[in-house]
Amino acid sequence: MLRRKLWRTAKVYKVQFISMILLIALGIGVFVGFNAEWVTIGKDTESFFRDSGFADYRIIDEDGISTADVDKIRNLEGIGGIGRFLSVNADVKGSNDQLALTVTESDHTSIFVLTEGKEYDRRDAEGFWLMDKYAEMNGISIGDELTVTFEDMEFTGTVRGLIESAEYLICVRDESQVMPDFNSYGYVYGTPAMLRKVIEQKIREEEPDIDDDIMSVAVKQACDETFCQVNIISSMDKQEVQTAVDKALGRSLLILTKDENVSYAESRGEMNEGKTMGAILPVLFLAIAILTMITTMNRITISEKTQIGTLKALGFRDKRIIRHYTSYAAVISVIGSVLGIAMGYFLCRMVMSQDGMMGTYFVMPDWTIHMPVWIWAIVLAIVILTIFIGYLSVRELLRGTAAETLRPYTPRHIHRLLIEGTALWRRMRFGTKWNLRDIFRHKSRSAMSFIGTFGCMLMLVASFGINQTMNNFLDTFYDGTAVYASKVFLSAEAENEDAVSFAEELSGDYSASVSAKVGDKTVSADVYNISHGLYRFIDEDSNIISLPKEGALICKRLARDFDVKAGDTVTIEPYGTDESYDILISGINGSLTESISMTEEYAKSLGLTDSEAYRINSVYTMTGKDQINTSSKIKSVQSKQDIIDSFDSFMKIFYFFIIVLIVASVLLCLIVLYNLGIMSYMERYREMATLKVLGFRNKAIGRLLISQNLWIAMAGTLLGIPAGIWALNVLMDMLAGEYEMETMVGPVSILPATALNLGVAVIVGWMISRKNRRINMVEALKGTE
Amino acid sequence: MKIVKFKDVTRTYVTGDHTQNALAHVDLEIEGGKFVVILGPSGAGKSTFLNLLGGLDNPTSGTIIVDDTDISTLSSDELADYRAAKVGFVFQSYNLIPTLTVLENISLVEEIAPDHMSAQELLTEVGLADHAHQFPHELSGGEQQRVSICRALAKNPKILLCDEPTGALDSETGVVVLKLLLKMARDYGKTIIIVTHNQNIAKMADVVIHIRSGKVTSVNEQLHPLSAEEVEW
Repeated sequence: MLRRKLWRTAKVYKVQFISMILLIALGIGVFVGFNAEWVTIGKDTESFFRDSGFADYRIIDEDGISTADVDKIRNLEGIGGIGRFLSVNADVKGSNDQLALTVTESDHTSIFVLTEGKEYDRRDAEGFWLMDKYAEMNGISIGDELTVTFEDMEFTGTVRGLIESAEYLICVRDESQVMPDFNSYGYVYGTPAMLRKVIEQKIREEEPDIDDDIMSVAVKQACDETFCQVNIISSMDKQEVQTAVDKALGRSLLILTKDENVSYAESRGEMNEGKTMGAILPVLFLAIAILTMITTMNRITISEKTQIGTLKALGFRDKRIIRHYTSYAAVISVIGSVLGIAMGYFLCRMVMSQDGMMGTYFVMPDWTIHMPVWIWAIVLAIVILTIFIGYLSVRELLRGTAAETLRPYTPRHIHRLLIEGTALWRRMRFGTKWNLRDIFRHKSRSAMSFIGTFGCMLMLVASFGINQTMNNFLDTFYDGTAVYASKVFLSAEAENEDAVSFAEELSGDYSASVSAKVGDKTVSADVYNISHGLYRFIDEDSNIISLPKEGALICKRLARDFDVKAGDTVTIEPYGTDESYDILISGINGSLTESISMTEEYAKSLGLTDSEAYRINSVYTMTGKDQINTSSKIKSVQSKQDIIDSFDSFMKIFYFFIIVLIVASVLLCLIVLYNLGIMSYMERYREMATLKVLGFRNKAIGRLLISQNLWIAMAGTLLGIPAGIWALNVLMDMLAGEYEMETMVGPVSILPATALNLGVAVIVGWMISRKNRRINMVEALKGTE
Repeated sequence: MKIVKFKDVTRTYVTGDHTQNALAHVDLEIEGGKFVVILGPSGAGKSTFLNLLGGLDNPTSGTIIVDDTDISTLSSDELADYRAAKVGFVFQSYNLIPTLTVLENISLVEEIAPDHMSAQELLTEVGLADHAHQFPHELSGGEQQRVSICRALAKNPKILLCDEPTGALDSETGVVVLKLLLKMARDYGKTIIIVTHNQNIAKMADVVIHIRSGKVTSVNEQLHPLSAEEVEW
């Protein structure tokens, strides 16, 4: 029978029940969604890295790495896997597409996960293993023939299998491409046997009468020169690997850690970004939802006081009554949690799936959504907490005798407010006094309304602020620093002289990026020749500045990491050389990349422009992209808009979470205010009926109801603004390793956030005030207080 | 002059399939300035009569004319204005606003009643001037009811409607409240209509109306009503 009562009571309090379920669902949904996303990125990419033998280190020697070198490294202690690795951008014959032609000599290191077809066979000189997504986009199937060309070598083979490789988790052509384009760029694994065959053919074309023994030696030598990279799996740290390899080979080689690989670094970056986003706002969101739910649960139990008393008077034991009333909390929290988990899963799935947002960025075989134990533990804790609060509320009411419990609940008596007796108080209308006292009489309800609007405002300001900060960050770089119309990326074929004359031809500026080591960190030393003002620099506060004539600018992240300031010196060691240069730091700048920027004159004075590592690789021009003729010396041309669009597409996931936060905040605010507004309406029902009897019109009573909600919402909104800015600053500090952003919160963020927060309060107030038309004066005034 | 006229008034409540006539074809007229007591057992229709007269409820059929105004056809806002100007209510459970002080509870009607009286003066008259800044919960039941009477009178209404005004009070306090009601009515020339099932109160009335099963069974004028002290409680 009591079970029947449970459902019927739920019907009576349907607004509160539904809102509590929605609150829990929303709170848990946002929390689970945000946190499952980064956990899933971490776990799925980690298993992909493991399954495809992602290398921990890449040892590079531009002169080539011989099999003897490989053997020496293999024999080192702590090497788990090793294989020479080749990855070059090759043209696909018959199209304008490019594929990263990859050859690995290992079956276990830097290999791939087969999604369809035959297993990898290193001895198969005719076999290709093609990226499945590229194959799908281009209608290529297993068994189809494919030809790719690299320099003057042509590789022809049959597609044996479709694959996904963690080396190309983020499959971009080069640094000029931010987002993958699976339609025009992918990767294909050839075999060492195929490479040897192609080299042999090339040698035979040049020397048709070559002897077999000599051919064998020539092929081996050519292979040794072609393989400039060896990938290893090792648990040693970089310094240990560097020392061991240098000692074993007797020469110092460039060693890159996996953190310097775009696929690994960007996936960890996405994970950390998600972790940061999930650590603050969704937690706050969940906290508001739980607090409101607890308040509502407590209020419902209190309004059931006489019913509890009746059950007690009828002879029901306290335990039975407690069980009955805690079952309300249990039902609400369980249904809310299940819906929340489903919502969180759905949110996460929208991002983390092959067809989801991250599917346009990552290519990996496993998109299993992961919900770690701690997420389940938090959900379970919420259910237990809700039931416990339900239990405490009932237990409190059951403390007295049945007669005491039977008496209707009377709220705490009002006490005088501090401002009473002042001139201001005397000038107030009765409605103002009534509302003010009611706020303090029902402190928990008022506090929750305040926390709800305050918290939502905080989240709205922070969310809009992130958006504004990010837009400002991008505007600063694209409108502030990039004055050019097109950026030309030069190929390896372009000599520095070619680059200079090309820049003159296009009336452009140019730059060279020298990859160099500072301590154990890889940085880009960028050397600029700016004679047309097509590239500019910004200082720490986003003001436009010029490159100093003496010394260089160091970006904020590096300045922080290396703990340097203007006047200090940083020593860079360009990779592939034994040289080192002492760079005088003249200032700190804001930059999209981790770089040190200097003028060509200063680089010349250091001798850096004479280094082998110095290669001009970019030209900036006002000439339109379409007017620049393609040549083998040009790798690619991107218009400024292309770069902006590409970055916008890259930022899509970031913006998605901001939109989720904004929508969820508005919903949370709506549910919290409606729920508490209805509670306020019910608790003041008798008072409003009295006013109605006295002759107050519905509108006047409605205004009274709205104004209390609005005051609280205004207080929450006002205080939510600085709190939102504070939260944004915390968030930006946590994202500082990822982006060099200056927190920007202006009217663009605050006005829509305020409009939304107050708009919700007005709408909710209006919805509730309409209810007073239905107040039954006769019914309401029956009985005793 | 007849201040209240009920013409063939019926109030029917429908609950599911069940229809109940709380008042059935009531014809009644009440003289202005009188002290009227409506008697009847529980469920007889006394409160329904009061609610209809007070503009808290609408009749299912019939006409109710109060001070030459047909209130049975008024809109919700017009009824609110009617309640604000013409009638004052005194309830068994006082219905004071707990978050307003005694003085504020009375003066709040100043915002709606066009011809309101001074709250402070009324309080002085009922002997509660010292309690003006106290909250209702700080007063006794009798004191709260006196505040409630002040609030009803503060609107300066023509009619004071009292639903079991002494129902929640002990007899001694009840006498004080009734005396006050009577005094105020006489001093200010108000019509007082009290609904009760307490036969003793009827002894004080100018007119006693009996209602049973939704019908007016008798209307008796008393030429020599007793004072509150004379009534045996």
